[in-house]
Amino acid sequence: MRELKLVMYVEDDPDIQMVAQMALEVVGGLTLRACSCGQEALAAAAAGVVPDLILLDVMMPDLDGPATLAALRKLPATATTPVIFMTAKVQAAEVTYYKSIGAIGVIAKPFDPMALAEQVRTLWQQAAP
Amino acid sequence: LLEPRDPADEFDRLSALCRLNLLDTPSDDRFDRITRTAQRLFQVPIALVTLVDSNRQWFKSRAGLDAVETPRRVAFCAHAILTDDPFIVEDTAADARFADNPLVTGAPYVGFYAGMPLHDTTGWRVGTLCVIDHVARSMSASDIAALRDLALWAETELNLYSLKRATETSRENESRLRAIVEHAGDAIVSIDDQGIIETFNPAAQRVFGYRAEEIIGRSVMLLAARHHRAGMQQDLAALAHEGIKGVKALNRQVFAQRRNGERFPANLVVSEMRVNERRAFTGLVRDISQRRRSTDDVKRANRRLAETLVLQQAIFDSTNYAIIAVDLQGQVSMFNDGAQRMLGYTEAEMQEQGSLAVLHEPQELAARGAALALELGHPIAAPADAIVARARDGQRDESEWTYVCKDGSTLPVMLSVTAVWDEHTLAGFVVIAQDLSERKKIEQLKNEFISTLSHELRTPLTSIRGSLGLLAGGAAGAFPAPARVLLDIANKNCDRLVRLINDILDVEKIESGSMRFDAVVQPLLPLIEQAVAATNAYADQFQVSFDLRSDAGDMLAAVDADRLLQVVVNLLSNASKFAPSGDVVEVRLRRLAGVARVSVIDHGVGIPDTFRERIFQKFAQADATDSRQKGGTGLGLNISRAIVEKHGGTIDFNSVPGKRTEFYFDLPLVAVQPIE
Repeated sequence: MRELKLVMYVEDDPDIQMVAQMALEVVGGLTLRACSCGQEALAAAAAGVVPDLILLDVMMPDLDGPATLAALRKLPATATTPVIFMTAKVQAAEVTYYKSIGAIGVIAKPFDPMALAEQVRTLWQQAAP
Repeated sequence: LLEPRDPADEFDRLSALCRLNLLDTPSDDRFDRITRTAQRLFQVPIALVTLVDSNRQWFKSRAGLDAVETPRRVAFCAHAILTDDPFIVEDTAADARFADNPLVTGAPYVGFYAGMPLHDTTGWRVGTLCVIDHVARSMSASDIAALRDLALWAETELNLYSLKRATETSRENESRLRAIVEHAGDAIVSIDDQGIIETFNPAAQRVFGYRAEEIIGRSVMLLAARHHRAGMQQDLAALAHEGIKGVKALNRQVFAQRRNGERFPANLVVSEMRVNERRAFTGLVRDISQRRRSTDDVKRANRRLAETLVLQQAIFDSTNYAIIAVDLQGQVSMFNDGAQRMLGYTEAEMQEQGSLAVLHEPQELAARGAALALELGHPIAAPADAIVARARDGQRDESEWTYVCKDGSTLPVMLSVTAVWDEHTLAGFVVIAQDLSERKKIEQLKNEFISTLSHELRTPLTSIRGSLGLLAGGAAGAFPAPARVLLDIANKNCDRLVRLINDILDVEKIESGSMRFDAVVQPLLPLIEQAVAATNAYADQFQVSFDLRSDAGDMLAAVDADRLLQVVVNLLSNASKFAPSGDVVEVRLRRLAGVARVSVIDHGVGIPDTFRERIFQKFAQADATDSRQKGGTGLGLNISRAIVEKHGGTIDFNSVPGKRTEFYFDLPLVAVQPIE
């Protein structure tokens, strides 16, 4: 199985972005391409960034998580990339909905920073063909 | 035949005749003596004392005649009373006036007639004394004189007799009147024109409490209530002066007063009489206090009824509720203003519908009908019957429905359906609909607010928890020991804050009914194992371990795995927190009658019995300080109970403080194999 290396992370809150970045890079040893909004992620993908996995915040101004996902799917670089949503709203109905639009998993906020990378890796491995 | 003419002033003559009180009275010897004397004196077969009535002559005395009376038009006497002279027909057969008279041609075969008019005291000729022979004869002057003498005798008897009769009659009338007065239910008081009481009947004595002898001769004022006396004084003056015309109301309500001072409402009717050319008055007094009281009762009842009606009308006119009455056939008989406003139909339009179905979505009616058929154990006949089926079976029914308005729009409503009974027969139903749109809107707002709040709180918490976690985890390098202690405190409390927010959200979801339960039939043991595995690390902190045993093999129950896990984890972590260090917490899965019991048993301080009542309530912990020391939220058991009850189960505990505390919940077992 392919090793998880490059993760595209879209999160509008800079503090959370910083914490997650440390959790994933420093603790988890992953490479992160952090974006502050959906448009930035689209631009990056269009500019040739090909992530192994996309971590998407759900609630974002302008383009929210699901909208960003829909747009990313139209780009060749991210047409099939596995996606994990991160959200404060973890209700059963919502998890079902996110999975129905193609997410391989949902991670609840607040997350455990020391375990985040492990959580992401586990979901990625479970979804791998 | 010559018929007799009427005398002048016949009406007055007849009145005088009636005043004699003689007509149709029994025969009397005093008159019979006269006719017998006449019979002998004149040697005639028939002698009569006759009274000429309006259309007959009636015989007060009849010597030699059987008939009691004869018609006036053939009566000789009717001619005799026309003058004061004697009326003599010596030979009837030779007299053209009488030759064909039936009394001449037939019985009693009058051949001769001689009559003398009889006068009453005022001179009216009321009848005759007459003698009759079957053959013609003549009357000499002395005969006529003799007849006149006999007639005067008869007149004297007539008037004496009449006077006696009149006296008797008046005495009779008086005693009759007295009987009436004595036995009257109403008080009858007569007064003179000065207001002095003259008579006081027994009823008056009963009503007023005075004996007749003590009140007669005293002023009638004594009988009036004090506040009525001034008015009565005026009335008496008017009565004395002008008689009854001077008093405005002859029949009216007054306040009277009894001897003991008690006042009472009475009806008074006053009439005037003339006694010895003086005015006197009779008052008829009826005590109506009883009637007033019952009238008051009726008034009170009416007032209550009116209040109830006003209340009903107010409810009925209420804008917020639609009130609809239907008969057994579903025909709408009432559709109040509220219903018209809520639904857009007029009462007339609804009455044309003949069913309530038009207000409902057909699919909802069908679905509800199917569910009710199962619940009630009998089919639901018509779609609209689903609305009233429970009420028809005598049950209370309050359920949420969707109403469809005339314009096609829909609104959520709470329908209360009540059966209406006419005596013991079901007559129809009343449906009261409350518009829930506003409530739903508010509920939604509240849910959105809590949801938003949780998200808004979680965003900063995510940064804080993340930062603290990274620091505590050493991702930013090592810290000196005091800083580590502080960091651990911050980290631990941050975790607690997160749990608190999660629990509050859970409670809100449970209370609003928005918590989803996806019940799937599955074996219980793996879930318990999973819960134990998830809590092991937590229990380690307290040096507590779990001992899981199941003696019942695979037990199946319909459960929402995540929620049930939440319950078991809650019980396990509670046990960990409260168990003494080194304790082995027993986790048992057992089969009881129809249920699976999951028990978590620790050997800690236990729970005092006084706390039993509150332990499943929100923010309840036996020792208020425990919450902080043990890091709990005070919501765990409350949430657990709600989840267990949602699964149709029960949760409880038994505790021997210091020895053994068992928390357990029972879930209904499912017999079938899980669907693979």
